[in-house]
Amino acid sequence: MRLFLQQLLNGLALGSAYGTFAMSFGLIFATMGILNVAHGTIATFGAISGWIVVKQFGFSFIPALAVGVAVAATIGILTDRLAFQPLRARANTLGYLITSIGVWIVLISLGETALNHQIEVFPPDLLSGPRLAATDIYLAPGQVWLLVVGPIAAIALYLVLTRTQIGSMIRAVGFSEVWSRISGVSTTFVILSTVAISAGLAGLAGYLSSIAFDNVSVPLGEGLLLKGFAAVVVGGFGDVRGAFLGGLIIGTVEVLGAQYVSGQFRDVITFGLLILFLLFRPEGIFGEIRFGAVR
Amino acid sequence: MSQFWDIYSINVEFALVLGIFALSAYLGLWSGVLSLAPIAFGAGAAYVSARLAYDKIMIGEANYPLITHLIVGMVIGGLLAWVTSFPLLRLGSHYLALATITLVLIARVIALNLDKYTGGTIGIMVERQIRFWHIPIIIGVVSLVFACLRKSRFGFAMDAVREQPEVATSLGINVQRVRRYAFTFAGVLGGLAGVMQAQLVQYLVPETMYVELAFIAIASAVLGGAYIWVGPLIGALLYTAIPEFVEPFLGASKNIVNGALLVIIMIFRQRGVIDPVQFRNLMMRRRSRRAEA
Amino acid sequence: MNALDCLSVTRQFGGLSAVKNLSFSVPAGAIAGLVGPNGAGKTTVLNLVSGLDRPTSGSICISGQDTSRLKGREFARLGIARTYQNMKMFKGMSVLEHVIVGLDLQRRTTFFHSIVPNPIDRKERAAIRAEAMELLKVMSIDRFADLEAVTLSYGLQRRLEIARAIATKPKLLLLDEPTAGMNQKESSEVGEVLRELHATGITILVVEHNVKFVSDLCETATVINFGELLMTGTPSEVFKSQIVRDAYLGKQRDERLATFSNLRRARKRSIDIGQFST
Repeated sequence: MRLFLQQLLNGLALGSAYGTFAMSFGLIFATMGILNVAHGTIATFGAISGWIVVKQFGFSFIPALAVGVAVAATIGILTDRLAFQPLRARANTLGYLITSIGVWIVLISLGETALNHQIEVFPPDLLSGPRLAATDIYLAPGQVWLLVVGPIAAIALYLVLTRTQIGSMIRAVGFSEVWSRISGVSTTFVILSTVAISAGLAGLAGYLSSIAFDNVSVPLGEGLLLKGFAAVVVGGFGDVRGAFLGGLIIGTVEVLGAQYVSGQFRDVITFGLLILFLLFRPEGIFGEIRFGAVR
Repeated sequence: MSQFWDIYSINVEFALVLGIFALSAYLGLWSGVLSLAPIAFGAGAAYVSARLAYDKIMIGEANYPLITHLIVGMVIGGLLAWVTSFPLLRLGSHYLALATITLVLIARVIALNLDKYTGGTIGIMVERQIRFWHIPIIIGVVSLVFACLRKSRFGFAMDAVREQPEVATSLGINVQRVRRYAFTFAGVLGGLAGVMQAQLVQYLVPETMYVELAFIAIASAVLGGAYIWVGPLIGALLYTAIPEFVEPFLGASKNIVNGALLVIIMIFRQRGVIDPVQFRNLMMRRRSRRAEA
Repeated sequence: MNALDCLSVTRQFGGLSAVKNLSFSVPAGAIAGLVGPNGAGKTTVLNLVSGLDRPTSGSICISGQDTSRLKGREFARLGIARTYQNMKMFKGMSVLEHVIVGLDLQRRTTFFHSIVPNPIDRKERAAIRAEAMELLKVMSIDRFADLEAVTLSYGLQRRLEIARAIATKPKLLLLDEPTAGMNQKESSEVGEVLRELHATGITILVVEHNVKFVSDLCETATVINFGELLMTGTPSEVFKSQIVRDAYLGKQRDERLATFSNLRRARKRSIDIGQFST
């Protein structure tokens, strides 16, 4: 029982990382139709920039977090302006995909250079505070942060999207940029806001994950991308709650699966779920958006 | 000159095999399908071929000839494609694209988990039977097939299915069958390229044919021009060659130029380097100028 | 035997009946018109007859054969061809190639003939090319054979559409608003072409708004509104009829206008809200 609870919490912490990333990824995909394969690298840069300011300038946990989020948001905005904006007039899936591949290649290169092709770790004393050791369950402080921040971010994003004016503008632009402009929405501002929120969240996910799992590296972001992608499919496009819950599901299933079924089978379950959903319920658990069926 | 060759011949080999992967992605695009699945089928084919060779060598016998491996690769690739085409081609185009990416992910996971057969993370050693001169011959045959396809009944059918599936149906074309054949043939190409790739690397692990390769393959196809078969081959060559020119300046980060190149091409010349329409217009302009003179 | 028989055809989309219990026929070799105001369901009827859509109930017979079990692609072999309201050209393909795609229906080759060079394929292709040029000549667009189809002017594209359609050697040709956006001269040219085609024995059904075009060209006209049959007859009978005039000029619209002005008078008593525009 104790083991189960431990692994459940581990899974939820992991799932929270996946879910936070998935929300950010799904936000762009659902509102702008861009499948951005470079999104994982944005998370990586959230981690890298946080790590750099800690290592070189002795920042503490929260300021470094702010830096990580800010850097990620900036990179997101830059890549959107430079690479995706010129394509907006003739938006087509393939074009966006190839561009995002180009951005991905550039960012991976830069990331590897920044890390000198190593895997780095944060200094262990970065997060102070007692490790949760109640009733023999052990959680690293990074995991606790994930468990707390993730759901808060999810709720916050959901509220922003549904209860605020900027949120409805974001959804309107996602639905139709032309009609939004006719209605007086400043699409540039909205697009930039969407990108900033999305990239910032990715940076948050990257930063917290790299601390919780002791790993600052380019593959960290790529892992988030793959699992985030699975989470968005399983949870449902177009709904951030679905994306976050999808992440939680995948994280928990992965960890519990590894514990009780087989260590090797982690990814089998995840990607098996993914293909099953794509084949039989592509809109996911919570999704309503369904792209047109082939004739 | 021969020094140049010593250094770069391996690059050319990889570039040409990448070209075949790019052609497999192009074939999907030709019929209106964005599919990275051939890379997954290539992995499957490569493992079967590598395993067959390994079993032979382990019992002390000589390996099968190269042609056997190439045929096995094509058959396995085609078979895997045919079978998966049934569930996959029912999906709408966006979900289909995502499902093919998922196939590539799943292929690696399967390779990891069937470790008794595939060697898991350790992988299988692959004997390199390909000599350099094999590769242009293979490329030549593949090119011939594509050149035939271009103005053939099936080629036009693919164009119609891509552009206006409804019109194609009312002209009597079996749209699903066209897509399925294209998908399967792309799988055959993927299987062929997979076997070749494994032999060039001389080592087969689950990461040999994975998402990076899949993305690079389709990026090369679009870079070179996804409107005629020459494009993906040129794209693959460019993609492999260009970083070499900047290596003196950028060293290990040389791949950055490829990324920048992709973005630039999509902004300024999204039809790719080789554009048959532009070529046709050029020819017609020259012809009319000559007629006036 | 009629070229086309629609028997109590209904097509429902959720709660909306685009076509409701529609029955009409087109005799073999006739040249008929299908008219009605916008939204009457004319294009839906064409979609149902050409196999792009299935009726919710009722049946459609082509030359006596029931089409309910046929797949979309089998309608071409049955001898049906059509053009579209918003022209569906193949981007990147030349004018000649559009017609070739239509002619390819009659070829015997399989996939494997397409991937290796072989004499059968080469001979067939040459014959098809020649035939395609002939068809382009019939439609007077052979000059543009190698041009990219989407660069052609509107009127020429419409002709190409017709050429592509007749390439499948249809017995029944359906045209969806072939003169839309055309002036008088262009419309009469299209009418000429259709008359010549008709003389070769093809049955033609034209969906049109252009009253003069239908009157000049068609032997019979069927009028529908809100998916239901209003009347059938010769064009002069039909366009003189009061029912049809009401439908076209919108008797229901007059009723709606009356309702709105009553509403406005009622509201004006409580608040003055300015102009209603109807």
